[in-house]
Amino acid sequence: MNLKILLFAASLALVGQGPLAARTWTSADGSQTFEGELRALSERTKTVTVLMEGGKLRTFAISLLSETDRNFLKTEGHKILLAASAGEGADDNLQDHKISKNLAKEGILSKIEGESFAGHKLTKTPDYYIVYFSASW
Amino acid sequence: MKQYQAEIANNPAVEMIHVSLDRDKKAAETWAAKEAFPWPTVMMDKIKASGFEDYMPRAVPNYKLLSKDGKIVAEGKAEVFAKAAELTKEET
Repeated sequence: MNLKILLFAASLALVGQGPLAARTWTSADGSQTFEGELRALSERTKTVTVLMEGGKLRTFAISLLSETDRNFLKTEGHKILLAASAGEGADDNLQDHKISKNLAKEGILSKIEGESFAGHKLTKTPDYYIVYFSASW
Repeated sequence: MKQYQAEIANNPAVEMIHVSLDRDKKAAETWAAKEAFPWPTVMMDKIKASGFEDYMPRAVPNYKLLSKDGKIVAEGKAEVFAKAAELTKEET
């Protein structure tokens, strides 16, 4: 398994786990700050997933963050995720199961945020999936 | 939606995935935004890559309960939610 796959799998497994790197994050223009814990990082989609105060997971573009935060993710992000994943069981790995393996691929899942769909990653490693086929018509 | 919030949202052993059969992404987006869908969605153009192409129903709406290894455990809304609750009772 190459390093990128290992890091991606580790970060996915950590999405629903306990405290990792709680810190104050700042928007790119410096006008807003928020508290949150780093939960996942994707170099491919250039997104970061943060567990916000209140328990909501949010995934957004790294470019929306301040230079300090971007540097933090670049230098420390993967180290933190890897360190926190040490000892996690392989059973929780999304790559090990038929359904989650496909859903964990970049770009497969989306979720409505406001008026439009945004990229989404599984926040659980479930044993079962309720698949709801439907359409607006 | 209420059933999802009550039985699925905070249940770590089961997740609900919406597979949209809308060819028009904007229509799907408008509907999802209006209803504030809380669950993850697979859009029409991602169905093949998601692996759900093998489970396509003849008509919608359709609910299937799948094991993580892809086995169909139950089908039909009432049966799916009941079976999900039964199978994950000890894990929640």
